[in-house]
Amino acid sequence: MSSAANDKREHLEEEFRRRMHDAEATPSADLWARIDHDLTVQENSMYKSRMVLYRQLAAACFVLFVLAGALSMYYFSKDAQQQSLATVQPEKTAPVIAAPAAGEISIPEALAAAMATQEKAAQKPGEKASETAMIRSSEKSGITVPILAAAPARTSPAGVTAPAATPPEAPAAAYTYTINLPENKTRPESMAANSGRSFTNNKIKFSTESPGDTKTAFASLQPFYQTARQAITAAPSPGSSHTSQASMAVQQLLRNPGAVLVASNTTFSVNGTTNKQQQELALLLNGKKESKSSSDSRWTVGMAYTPSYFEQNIGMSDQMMDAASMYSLVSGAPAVSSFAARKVEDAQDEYAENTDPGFSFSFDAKLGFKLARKLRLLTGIGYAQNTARTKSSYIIRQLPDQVQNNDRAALEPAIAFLPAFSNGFSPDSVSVTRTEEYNVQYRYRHLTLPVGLQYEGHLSKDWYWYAASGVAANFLIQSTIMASNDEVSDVNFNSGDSSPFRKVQLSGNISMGVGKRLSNAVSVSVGPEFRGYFNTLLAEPGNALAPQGKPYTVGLNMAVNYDLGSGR
Amino acid sequence: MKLFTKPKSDEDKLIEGCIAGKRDMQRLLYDLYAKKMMLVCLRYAPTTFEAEDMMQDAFIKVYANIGNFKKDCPLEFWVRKIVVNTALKHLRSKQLLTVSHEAEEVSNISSDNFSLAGYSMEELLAIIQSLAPRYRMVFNLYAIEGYNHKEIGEMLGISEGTSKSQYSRARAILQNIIMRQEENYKKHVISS
Repeated sequence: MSSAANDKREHLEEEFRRRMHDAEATPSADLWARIDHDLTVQENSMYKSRMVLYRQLAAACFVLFVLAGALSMYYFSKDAQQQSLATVQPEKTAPVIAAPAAGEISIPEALAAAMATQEKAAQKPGEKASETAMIRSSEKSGITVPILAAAPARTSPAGVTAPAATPPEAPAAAYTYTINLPENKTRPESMAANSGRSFTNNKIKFSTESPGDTKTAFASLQPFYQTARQAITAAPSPGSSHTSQASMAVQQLLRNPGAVLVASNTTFSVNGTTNKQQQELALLLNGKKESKSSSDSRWTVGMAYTPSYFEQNIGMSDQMMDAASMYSLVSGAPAVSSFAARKVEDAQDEYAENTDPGFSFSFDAKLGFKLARKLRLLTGIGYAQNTARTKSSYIIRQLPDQVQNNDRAALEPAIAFLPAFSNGFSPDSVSVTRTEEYNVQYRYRHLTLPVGLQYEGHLSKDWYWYAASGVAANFLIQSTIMASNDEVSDVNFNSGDSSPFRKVQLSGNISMGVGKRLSNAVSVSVGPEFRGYFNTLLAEPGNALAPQGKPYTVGLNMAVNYDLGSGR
Repeated sequence: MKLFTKPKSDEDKLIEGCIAGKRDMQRLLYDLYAKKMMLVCLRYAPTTFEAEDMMQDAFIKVYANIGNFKKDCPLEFWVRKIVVNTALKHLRSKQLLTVSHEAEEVSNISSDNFSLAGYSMEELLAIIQSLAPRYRMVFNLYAIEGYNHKEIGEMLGISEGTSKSQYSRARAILQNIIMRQEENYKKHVISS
């Protein structure tokens, strides 16, 4: 038995080691130049692949930005349009109102006139500005009530003439009507302050004054009369005996908002309008605006966490073994290859039996935009880590053929999974070693850019159901195959590396579940989610011997949503 | 304040420079190990041209993977390991590892009185390069690199027993070559 067989070094080994181990030889002078050239080429290719990734990311961000911008413009322009319709602009209205007979009018009539003119103004937003009428109490009582409309040029039956409409370039005119309240000397700063106070038998006299007489009282009371709805809802509480009269006046106003109101000597209390009527009236007058103001904001932000199981759907095929055997015969070394072939077959059987989905998860930050009452557009950015696992007892060393130069590049010792990537087998290209069972984990990390739609339905006051569907672009940022065996090298491909895996994958997802509104702004939801990838994991599945399926995940989507601006 | 931080050694700076892709540092690393690694390649490659190819690929791998160097062994050892692995892959890619049984019978000779003192480095290289690729590889790995047969079996994808038998044969061939050369030398000296 030789010393080599006994793994015992003798004099020959020591002599060769002593002479050769640390010996040196000078390489040719141009070797460094060749290495330098290779490094430069490598850096350029890395730079290019990185640039491609950055460009894709930039394009995706740009699309998202444009989408968000377009939706914002659509939303805000629509909102502004509604606001301009709902708000009365006194300077731009030209309503017609008749002066009261004998220059006297009661406060409810003045209110009704105000509402009528305001309604008309809302119907004719394009008309030019006119004057602003103001009702003021006698100087003694100090009541000043502005009316946000007046006739452009009118003459009352009693001969009280209001000035004509003020041209745009003229100073804003506010003609004042004086209301005499001889018996009630209270000084209501605003109509709200008068709530519950009866104006019965208080005669209000109108008188015109020059524009210069209009004082700051108008400014102080203006907010109260900005909308007719406010005027009505601010009316006094019920309890008066003149409810029916007030109702009639209001109904008349509603039937014919632009009608000329003729003042009468009949006096009544504005307290007469009941709460219910006030609300109905408010809804009728500004129903659209009311419903809008009570609705939620269109924008939401949310975060979702989805633990899931990932099926990578990469199988093993008999073709792989057939190929190996065929090449073995060609090579003229059947003994070695058939031995390796049997072991590879065992290894692939083991792979097929022991590969299971692993725990995976995704995390998304989403921005939602309500397209309709129950339909929401969702987009954002996410991170997904998909994992599959297997157990193996074999170590495979493989040298796949490189078609371009008819060469072979050796892979590090690996599990049975890796040869599935390639169809390049050659006689001594597969070496299989059986070892103790070890775990293998396949991990794929993606940056995701999702976009989708979510429909929400009502279940109860706080509960709702949802169904969502969407697509996502998944950018592979890292793929790793890790083995718990020290002899097997881990395989890791970063985003810039040349890897057999697809750099960008498209996926579709569908989910449904239930949600609960925790408050006006915050809601949580949970439900199962299925995410299927439209492509295989491998970039070139046609070149792989193993059958390539499309991976998918099944998980549980848990989300928290926050309505932006709710409660405004 | 660097009171509590270990000052960086020159090797650390060299490694960091290579990780950062600094070409001057890469050149420095090359200059440091090129000569030793060239001889390693020459031991495995049948020709100088192929040895330089191996060197080129090996150093590209060194630069690409130096970020994974864990400093649990000397840098030279790590570089040498990469060079050896690259050499093995090269020989595999050239399909030079097929075992061809030598026609002539060789016998194991005791190496107790064995001496290489009279051989130059070129002569020793020529002797090693005269071996068949598979034998040359096993001999290099066992006798010079110091791997055991189990490791060699794993590296070459052969069994431990195959490695032992191939080494035994390689050793015998080498001894015979050296013996023949010594006999020829003695004959030449005596005749002259």
